Amino acid sequence: MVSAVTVSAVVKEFGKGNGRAVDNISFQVDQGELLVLLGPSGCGKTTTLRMIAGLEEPDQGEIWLGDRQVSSAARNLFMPTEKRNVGMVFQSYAIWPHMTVFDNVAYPLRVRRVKRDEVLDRVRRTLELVGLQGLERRSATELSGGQQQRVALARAMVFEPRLLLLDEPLSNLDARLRVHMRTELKHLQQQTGITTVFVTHDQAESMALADRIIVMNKGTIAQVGNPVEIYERPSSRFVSEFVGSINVLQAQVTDVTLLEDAAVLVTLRRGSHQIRCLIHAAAYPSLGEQILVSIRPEKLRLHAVPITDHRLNVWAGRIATAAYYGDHREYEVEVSDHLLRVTTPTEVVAERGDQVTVACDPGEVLIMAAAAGQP
Amino acid sequence: MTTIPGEVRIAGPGQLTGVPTHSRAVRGGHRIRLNAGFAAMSLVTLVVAFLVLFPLVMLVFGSFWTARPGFPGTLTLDNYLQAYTDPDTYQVLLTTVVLIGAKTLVAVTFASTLAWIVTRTDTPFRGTLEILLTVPFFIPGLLEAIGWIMLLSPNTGTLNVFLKSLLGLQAAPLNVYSLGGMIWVMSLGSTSFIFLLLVNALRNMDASLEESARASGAGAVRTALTVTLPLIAPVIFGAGMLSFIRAMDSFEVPVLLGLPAKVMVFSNRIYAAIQYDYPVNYGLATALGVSFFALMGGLILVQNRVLRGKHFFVVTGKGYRPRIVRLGGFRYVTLGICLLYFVIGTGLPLSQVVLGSFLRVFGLPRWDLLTWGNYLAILSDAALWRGLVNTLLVCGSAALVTVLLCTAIAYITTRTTFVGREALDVISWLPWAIPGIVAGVGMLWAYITLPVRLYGTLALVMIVLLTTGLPLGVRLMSGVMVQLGMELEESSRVHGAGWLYTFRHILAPLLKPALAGAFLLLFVNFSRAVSTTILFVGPGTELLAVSLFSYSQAGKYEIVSALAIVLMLINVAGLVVARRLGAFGEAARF
Repeated sequence: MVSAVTVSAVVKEFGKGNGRAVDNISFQVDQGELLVLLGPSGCGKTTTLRMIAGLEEPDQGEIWLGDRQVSSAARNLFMPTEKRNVGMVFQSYAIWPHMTVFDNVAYPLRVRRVKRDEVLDRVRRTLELVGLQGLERRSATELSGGQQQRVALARAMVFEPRLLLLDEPLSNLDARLRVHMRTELKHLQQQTGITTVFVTHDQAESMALADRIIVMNKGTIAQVGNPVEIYERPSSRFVSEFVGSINVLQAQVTDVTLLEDAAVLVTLRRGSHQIRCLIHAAAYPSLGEQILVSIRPEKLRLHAVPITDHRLNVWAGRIATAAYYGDHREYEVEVSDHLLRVTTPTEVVAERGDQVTVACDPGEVLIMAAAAGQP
Repeated sequence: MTTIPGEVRIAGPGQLTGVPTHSRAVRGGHRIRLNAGFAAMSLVTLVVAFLVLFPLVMLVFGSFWTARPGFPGTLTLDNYLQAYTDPDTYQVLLTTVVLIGAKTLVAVTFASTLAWIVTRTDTPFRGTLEILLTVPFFIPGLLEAIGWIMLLSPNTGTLNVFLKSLLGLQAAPLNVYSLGGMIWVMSLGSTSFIFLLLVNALRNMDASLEESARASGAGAVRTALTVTLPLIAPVIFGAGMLSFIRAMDSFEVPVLLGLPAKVMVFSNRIYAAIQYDYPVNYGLATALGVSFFALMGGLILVQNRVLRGKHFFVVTGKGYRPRIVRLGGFRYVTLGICLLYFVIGTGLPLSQVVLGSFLRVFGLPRWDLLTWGNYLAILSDAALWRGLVNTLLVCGSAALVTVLLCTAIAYITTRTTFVGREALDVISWLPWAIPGIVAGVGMLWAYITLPVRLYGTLALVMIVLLTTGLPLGVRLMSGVMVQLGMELEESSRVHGAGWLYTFRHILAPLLKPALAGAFLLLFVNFSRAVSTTILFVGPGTELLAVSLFSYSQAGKYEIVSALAIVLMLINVAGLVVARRLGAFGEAARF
């Protein structure tokens, strides 16, 4: 089956000397898939989305929608945005303030010269779909943020476009509504099966929504994968730190010993400290290598008494800060010269200054090569 | 040039592109597609360039030509030599600077005091006071000048006559035909303008900035000196500078008050060289005109440089409640100051003109001299009647065309990546730097050389007004366009609408109130214009403001005051509606 969207070696620069907003990226979106472009602001995710929409013209590379090439710098081909048949929700919603809810949603149909009766029928059905039935006659400006968001969504879906583009649609909503709309959006997408590209800088949003995530950084693709892959097996320090919270420790490998049950004992040197660390044998590092040892805070466990389990990583430490969050607790634990963040269930109680033991399974320790030149 | 902070979203190539074509050129990183959009934008640029640059080129050319352009002559430096070897020229420059500098100082002092009282103290009736103090903004400057002539002319001025009899003086104590008189009248004129700017700034200033100073332990005075004043200083400075530069262009007061007293500044010297010197001294007029233009352009560049990056309109306007200083009993003194200013600055000249319009013979009011005759005289005078009709007709159509053209310009400069957009922005702004009388000379020469006979037609008057209206129109419209999110338009394009459909269904309806507001403001500005249009009126092309001006030069105050009232009513009607439409905030910048 042909991919719904194909982006191939696309480059976009805004003015000479400003660097590349999008630097040679390629990816595909499958039919019916919800793909999230995730990254910090300025990473090029919105520009990428706008190039798919036809709101920006790529300087290099090609874009296909289905089997139709819509943009090719080499062939000087650029299909105007209005011919691409895509629906889009903008960050500001871009609800036209001089029109009613009905007129806003009917707009794409009227542009396409759909018959009156059908316009009436399709607008009504779409408004029902997004839960806005009965508000047709309202002026768009009288709506709340969440309602405006739904109008924008209805407008983008009413003409059954081949592709739905969403540019940070939830970022202007308050936290509670954001979570609610996120769930609804996912539900709606699954219900309609419309191919969707969703841009966000919110990693929680991306995990909750995505079939697949593309993490972007500085105009390039940092990693592609489903939410589990991205969270559990980040390919770089950037991805591991951008997606969720993580403890990162850089050290040099001074000794490697293969143990039974597929574990490796490495001895690491960091300044004057020696650290012993059990890791999964698959990540077998070489002697003398600078590596990053990364562990998610929720993978660490706290024990009040020293434990002796040779199959676990066990480090002695002291509680530096303790905080209660209602549904969990967070601690910072001083282990040799390093502060480890640890997230625990609320039952695990410790006080500042307590001597504790931090433990974790070797399989939860992520090993990455330290980027050259970094301290 | 307009830039939008934050993520770059305003512009991307291809926003105006229609059907993809295969002709492409790469220049400066932008692709040029030759299509309808490109052609339309080029056409707009060419029209604007013609309107602005053609007269400017003719003016500069004329200043190096021994005769009028279009007449046989040779290239020469004589005009400049004549101008700059004449000590009078330096006297003119000095007087100009003194006049404008003094009036700016006076106006800034008045305006900042009044603005502070109205926005930051508990003076009673300050809401009403604020409205009263902005009244002069609605009154044509010409009317104010006339009012003061009627009050303070040495022989017949009512105030002078009154003071003479009161104090038993032989000679009139005050003379409006003097440098001092000019400073006085001009500063009253610009006070309301600066006042408006300062009131906005003071009101929009985030009160928490001052509150945190108070919370840190600073007293009221210390807070005012260390926080309020430094924050507001750039606004005061900027407003003063703007007012200074604008005043270089002032024409009515220098001619009406300066010429009789031989107080010569740039504008009335140039006017005199054309109207009164014999033989007509176009050489001097253009040499001075070009110098004047260079000086004003230079000042504007300095102003832009100085104010760049500064918050002209201090910190956000989120409707904070400003801190109010409690004045105690002193608040009746501040009330008195405001009332006194209103009575002297606006009440006196205005009531003088209103009264004068109903008096058979100009002078002290007497019941038996009251009459409708002056108004009837206007209505029965064919030339004045034509002036009224022409004013409505020409200013109306000129305002309409200007709004449409400026909308196109603003669209191109703020919403597209058209290659010529920066040039277009600069060119459309140029008339701002050209003093009205100088622009008038340039346009006179330019359009006389054309094979089409335009001189003496209302069409030419319209073109003249259109040209001078470009800067205001473009600023008004681009201000609105910048506020109108690009996404509103993009959203329409994405969902299938072409550019024209988008313009008709999205942009035009959203711009409608702004368009109407801009139309009215331009109309009012055009109806007041004297310096630019005075060279183009004649039998058949009379304009109300110019007639008013000529009659006041001739001293026919009975007719003048009635005419002035008619012009003022037209102005007030236009501005009140414009204010309703929200166009007023932008106008305050001019």
